[in-house]
Amino acid sequence: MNYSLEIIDLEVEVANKTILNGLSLNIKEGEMVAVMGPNGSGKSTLASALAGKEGYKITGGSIKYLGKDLLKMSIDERASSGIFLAFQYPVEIPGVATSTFVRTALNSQRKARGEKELDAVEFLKLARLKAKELKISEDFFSRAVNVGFSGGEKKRAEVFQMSMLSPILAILDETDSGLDIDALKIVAQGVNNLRSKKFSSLVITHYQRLLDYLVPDTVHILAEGKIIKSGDKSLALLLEKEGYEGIIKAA
Amino acid sequence: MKNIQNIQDKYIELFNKNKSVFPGKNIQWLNKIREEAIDQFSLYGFPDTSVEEWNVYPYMNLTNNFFPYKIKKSYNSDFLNIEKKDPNCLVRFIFNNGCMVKLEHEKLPKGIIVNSLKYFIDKSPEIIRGRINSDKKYFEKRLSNVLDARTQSVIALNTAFHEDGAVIIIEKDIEVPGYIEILNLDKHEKSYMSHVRSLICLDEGAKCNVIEKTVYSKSNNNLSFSSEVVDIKLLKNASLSMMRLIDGNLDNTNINSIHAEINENAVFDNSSFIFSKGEAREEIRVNLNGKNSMAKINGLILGLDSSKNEILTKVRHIDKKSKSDQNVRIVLSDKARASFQGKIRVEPSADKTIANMSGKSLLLNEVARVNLKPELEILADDVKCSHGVTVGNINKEQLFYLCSRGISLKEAKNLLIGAFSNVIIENLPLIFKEKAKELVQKYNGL
Repeated sequence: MNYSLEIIDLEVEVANKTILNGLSLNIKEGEMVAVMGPNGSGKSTLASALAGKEGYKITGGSIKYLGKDLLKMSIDERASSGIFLAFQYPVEIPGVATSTFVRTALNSQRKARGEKELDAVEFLKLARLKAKELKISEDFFSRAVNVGFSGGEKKRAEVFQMSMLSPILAILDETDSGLDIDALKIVAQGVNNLRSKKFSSLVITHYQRLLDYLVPDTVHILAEGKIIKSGDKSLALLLEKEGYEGIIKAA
Repeated sequence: MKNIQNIQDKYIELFNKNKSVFPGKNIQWLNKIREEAIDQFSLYGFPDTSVEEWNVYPYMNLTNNFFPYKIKKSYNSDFLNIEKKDPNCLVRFIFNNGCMVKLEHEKLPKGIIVNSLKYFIDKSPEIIRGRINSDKKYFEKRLSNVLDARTQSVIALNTAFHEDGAVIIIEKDIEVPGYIEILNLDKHEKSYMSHVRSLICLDEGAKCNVIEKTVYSKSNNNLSFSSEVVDIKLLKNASLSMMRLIDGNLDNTNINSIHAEINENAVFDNSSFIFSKGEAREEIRVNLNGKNSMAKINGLILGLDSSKNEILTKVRHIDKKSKSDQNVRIVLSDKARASFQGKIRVEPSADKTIANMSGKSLLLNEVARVNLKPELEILADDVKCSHGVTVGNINKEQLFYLCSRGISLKEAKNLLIGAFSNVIIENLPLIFKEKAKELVQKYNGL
């Protein structure tokens, strides 16, 4: 079995404060891994560090993605080689139409991989298909990126982008936050549609609720910048019963 | 100081030397306008930074150099490599170094009168009589009621030396199909100055679209100084949409003044795109003289290298229920500088005025500089006015979001710059939108 992601002893500093403190975690090809943890445990820092965000200083450890050193890759190189980060708070970009943005992104990735770029017609055909799957109306193509979107629409737009870009490794950073149950189901459906032997995912969440719809192969509990307990999906259920405090104490 | 006085004297000497060869040398009223203007110029010379409207940076090219001037004898456009006239373009004027070298059009519909200023001066001066304004008309009336002439020295010089320009007269209720284009080119081996004087007059109910492009050839280390004054008059219910592009290189100092008189229910819509790498200044003064008259002013400056570009507006609301809307966007990189000085003045007679102004700037590094000065002078009681300006950088969260989707840093920046300036393009009349997009795309890649 090959690993899509191997994190060894990762240490990350943000504004001179150590947030991740020796985190190790592997994701196998085709695996869905959930990382759960209380507020401030470093979940979002992990997501940002993986995507290469400025200000997240790697002070120790290593990250290998498909056998390559991830830390040597720029943000857009990571994306083009198949990493997708679904944002907890998607950014609003006034003046850029969603379709322009997604098409530019898709074609930049295709170009970087040496594939043929999609013309406007081919793109629209694909976008319509994906939008239909996610029950997104087409008028959102012409709207500015995330501007005036409701919380649910923003998350749905993230999953729409993900399905358009068909990544190898998706990182979902608290995608369930701010979603009602119907939106949650649609978003989960979108992710489940991508699941295959080649698609792995890292699902970051507070609550067990999301995992009713996205069933993980492995669950890790993150506290104070480290994985303190790992198990299968039953760990999430235990967590629901005992709370983070109980698990952290036991560990 | 002595040098500056010398240069000033040289222009006066130059004027006297050319008196007998100026176009319309036998037309008394024109001579009078010229004489008065050179007298005015001789009083103050070029404005220095002690003049409020000129205090952002000194125009050293003007104060330190003498620009020779010679009346052209022959006109030849063969050496200019010009693309073919667009099918939507009804009339195209082509100017080289300030003189018309070509006028292209098929048989024109009735009521559209176009030709060069020189043509009218030579052939039928009565048509333009009273339409070339004396430089006095442009004096700045201060809040203290003092008339300040110092701001208008370049206009005075233009009025004294003007030789040619575009004249567009549209008769009552005539709607010009497509658009009229004015192309200003420059091909020079020596340092020179040129002064263009254009007239656009729309009679009642007339409608017209005008595109003016000022494009300079590559830098060749010869300084040039060009000015253009456009006198615009819109009668009742008339509508004029103008799109202007100024694209200079670092040898050019380009100073333009638009002066528009707008009557009842008439609409004036002007968009200026300034992409000069040298010095360019666009002054837009609009008098909303009639009820319900309207002015829309858009401006976009994309500044590179050590360019200095300025937009100055002054919208005077004179009659009731007049409206104005100003939108300026400035993007600067390298060591570029730019300014937007915007003024709305509401006279006591202009109740129910609605006037808005917005000026936003984006600085792409730490050395680019922008000066923004929004001003409101409200002398009436019942008005709705707003003004606001901002200075900002590229938003890092937006940049990360775009890059995290596989878009390169350079392209992500371009997308964000495009989004910032897009407001100006969205404001354009439909007929100009595609053309403006092409222009901006050409200059993308800051």
